[in-house]
Amino acid sequence: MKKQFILSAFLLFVLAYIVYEFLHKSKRNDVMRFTNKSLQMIKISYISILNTYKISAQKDMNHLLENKDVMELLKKFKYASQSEKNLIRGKIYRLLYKQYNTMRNLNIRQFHFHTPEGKSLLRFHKPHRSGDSLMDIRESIRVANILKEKISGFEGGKVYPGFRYVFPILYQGEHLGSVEFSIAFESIEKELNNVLPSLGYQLILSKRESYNKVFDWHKDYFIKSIISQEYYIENPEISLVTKKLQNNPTVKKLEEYIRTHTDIINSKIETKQSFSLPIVLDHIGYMIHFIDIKNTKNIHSAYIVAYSNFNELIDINRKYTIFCILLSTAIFLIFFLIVIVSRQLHTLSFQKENLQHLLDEQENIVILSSGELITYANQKFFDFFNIKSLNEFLVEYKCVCEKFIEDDRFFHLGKLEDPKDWVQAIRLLPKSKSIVAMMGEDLQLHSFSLSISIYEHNIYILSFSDISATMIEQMKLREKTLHDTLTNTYNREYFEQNIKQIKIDYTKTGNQLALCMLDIDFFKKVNDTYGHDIGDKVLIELVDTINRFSRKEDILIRWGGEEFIMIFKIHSQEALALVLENLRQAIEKHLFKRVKNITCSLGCSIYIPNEAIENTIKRADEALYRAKDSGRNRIIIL
Amino acid sequence: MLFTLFTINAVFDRIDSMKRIYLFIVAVSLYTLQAKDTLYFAPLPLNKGVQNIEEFLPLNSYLKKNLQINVKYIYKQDYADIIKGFKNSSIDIAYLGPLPYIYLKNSCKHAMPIVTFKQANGKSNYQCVLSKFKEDTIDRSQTIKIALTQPLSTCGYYMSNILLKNSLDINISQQGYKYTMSHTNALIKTLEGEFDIAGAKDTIAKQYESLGMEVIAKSNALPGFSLVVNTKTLSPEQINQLQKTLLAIPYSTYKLWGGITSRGMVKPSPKEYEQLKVDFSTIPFYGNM
Repeated sequence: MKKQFILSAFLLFVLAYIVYEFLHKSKRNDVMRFTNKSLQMIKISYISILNTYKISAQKDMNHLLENKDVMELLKKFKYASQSEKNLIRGKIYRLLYKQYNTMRNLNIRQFHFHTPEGKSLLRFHKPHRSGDSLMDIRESIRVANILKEKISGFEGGKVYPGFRYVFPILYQGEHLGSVEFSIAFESIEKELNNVLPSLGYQLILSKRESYNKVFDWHKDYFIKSIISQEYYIENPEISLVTKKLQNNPTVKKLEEYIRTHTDIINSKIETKQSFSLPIVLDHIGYMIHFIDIKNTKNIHSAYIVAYSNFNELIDINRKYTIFCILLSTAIFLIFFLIVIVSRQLHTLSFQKENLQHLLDEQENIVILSSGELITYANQKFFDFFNIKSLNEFLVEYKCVCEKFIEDDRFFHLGKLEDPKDWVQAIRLLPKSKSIVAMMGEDLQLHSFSLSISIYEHNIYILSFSDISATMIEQMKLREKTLHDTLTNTYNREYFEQNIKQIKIDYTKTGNQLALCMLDIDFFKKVNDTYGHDIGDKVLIELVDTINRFSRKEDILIRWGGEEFIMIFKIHSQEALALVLENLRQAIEKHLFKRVKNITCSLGCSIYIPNEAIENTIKRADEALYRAKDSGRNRIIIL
Repeated sequence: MLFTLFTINAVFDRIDSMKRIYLFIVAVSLYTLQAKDTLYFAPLPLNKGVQNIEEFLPLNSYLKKNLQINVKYIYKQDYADIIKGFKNSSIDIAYLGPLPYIYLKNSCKHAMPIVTFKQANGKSNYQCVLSKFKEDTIDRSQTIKIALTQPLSTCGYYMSNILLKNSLDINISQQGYKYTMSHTNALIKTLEGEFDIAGAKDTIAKQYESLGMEVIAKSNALPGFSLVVNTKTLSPEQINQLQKTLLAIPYSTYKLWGGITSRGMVKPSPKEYEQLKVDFSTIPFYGNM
């Protein structure tokens, strides 16, 4: 019991662990699915925004190339002296500043011309700063001016990093340098917020792409990011985006969480791939997406960090919490049930053992059976049939009824039209008739009083009470009541009780029943001469003689005094006559001890089917009278 | 005898306790004055707000690192607001040219310059200039359009008027003039062709020579741009410490900075301010265009 209990508890624990693991994994997958979906949305939005700007930049570039005045000035610039260059720069500015103002309204931060050598020619956002070389630090400038190919992508710079679209300027087959249109992150952030409103977007720049590239006097434009020491953000003093985020208490809370959970972020940020952090703080779900930004060399340079609410996380958590609670409850209930069932089983087992013991102690054979099949038997059953188990019995027999002896004194299957209904049939019998006989291992016939009670639907308790001894006594007693005490022949009582059955049995298959009345001739004289004791002895000797010369099926009944009735099963009257004659002669020839010879007269009649037996007796009696009347020691058959 | 000794001890004890209370009050007072760890700084409204702040970022980072003080920017659109902020103690320190300083000093005794920024030539003085786009010609038959900084800017109406009169023989009151609110704006607007002449600080005008702008008139040397502290909000110790720190910034450090801060600082010379004789009532506070 204890072992089973521990085993059940252990199996339940293992099952619970597996299910909890499964739930945990499902939850993680659910979160990941939502996370990935959300991350993909931002990525797609981000790419769409960049593509829109790309189209816009291309359009501006086309406009520029169509502006012959500007192209001519750029051509002149290529070959001009320094003072001429200053003037040309100013003229270009004067020609294009309105276009630049329009671009700024469309969120283009930098409109920047470069010389064919990759030096700054004119920065519209800082027009007084020019002449510095960008070739070494800006891949886009190198591609546009050496490979003369247009290029776009995120890139650091000497002032600000940006999402750049750089085009080579080829005019009349001559390379005049390049021009770039740069989008500040503010613009991307603004558009992202329009498309996917969130708590905030922030650009964190790798040190290489920001701090290491800018003019020395611009290094303070950047400060280290709270998220990682390897990343910088634009100084909140000059960046509205940074300032806005720093003033956002939720974002500050999330940043603080990240700062204090570096283990979560470090391993992910080192991969330089996009990733997401679903976080629950103060029972509110948040999502922090890190979108990998690659530069023009396709090297990771920054992350766009998107802070947003993620209520689905709470929903998922709640859903799985409910699952866990339900599971825990189910496990508890199962455990509870197991305990109860175990206890019940233990109790039942104990009760069964007790019952078994009790039943085994019974003097009766007790079995449980549907009638056909035995499901349970007590030890007495096994002892009686000398078997070790029920299965051993069931190998040969299905039903205990197969063991019932076909003896008409007892109930047996031969008495039934449908043996299958034997249980029902026996239940309808009076108790005195519910007696079966079976052969035990001692090869003795045992009679049992069978009592049947319902155990449950279609299952009965069959109790076989061995009444063999009682039966013998009873049979003896019965025999006694049916026999004549003097001669031990059947008496009138026997006749009364059995004549019906005898009639049936003796008239089967073409036979006939003959009834004879036998009377000793001059018996009164014997009594008178020798006394009643001798008379009684004569009767005894007569019966003995008749028995010796009778057939097995012939029945002798003392009818009263010296008068007997004999019942014969005959084929014909002639055959009867032969039998009776043989019997008469045997009596006649027999020497009785004291009286020597005596004779008998026999009057017989043959039973007419369906007539009252009394009529047959009457005819036999009539025949006897005639036999007496016609001289005695003779046979008359009527 | 014993009683006398007890009495003396009790008196000394009382004196000691009073002394301790006094010292505590002094300490608390000093601490309160010195405890100002955030300075509210108004930079010059030269350019756009962000650009202005960008210029002072390295200097302020240096102060934060060396004096453990934070500098918070109070960006004001014009000098009048800076002067107002000084008076109502919302500004601790400001970056001012000589004219606004004199204007401030006239109305607020708590203004005190602590350092003056050196110019590209290594001196603290600077000049106001008139600048125009090289290819533009001044058509005297038409109204000449003049871009000015701000009413209280030294290079604004005050010096531009003098330079136009003395160098070009142009009477500003008979021409069109407009305040563009910053030196850079004045120059840019002129570069763009909206104005014929810009009045600006020499160093800023110089930067725009790379865009074809040329200086057509220069003033005499003027006292340099200074950091002016509010003695009402800062303790003498803090002012002293601030001044010492600023003057001690090594060349190797400030040379990496940009703009005005990249050439170092010197102690201001009060006498130079006295040379400026300004009648503020003659300066119009609005343009005529």
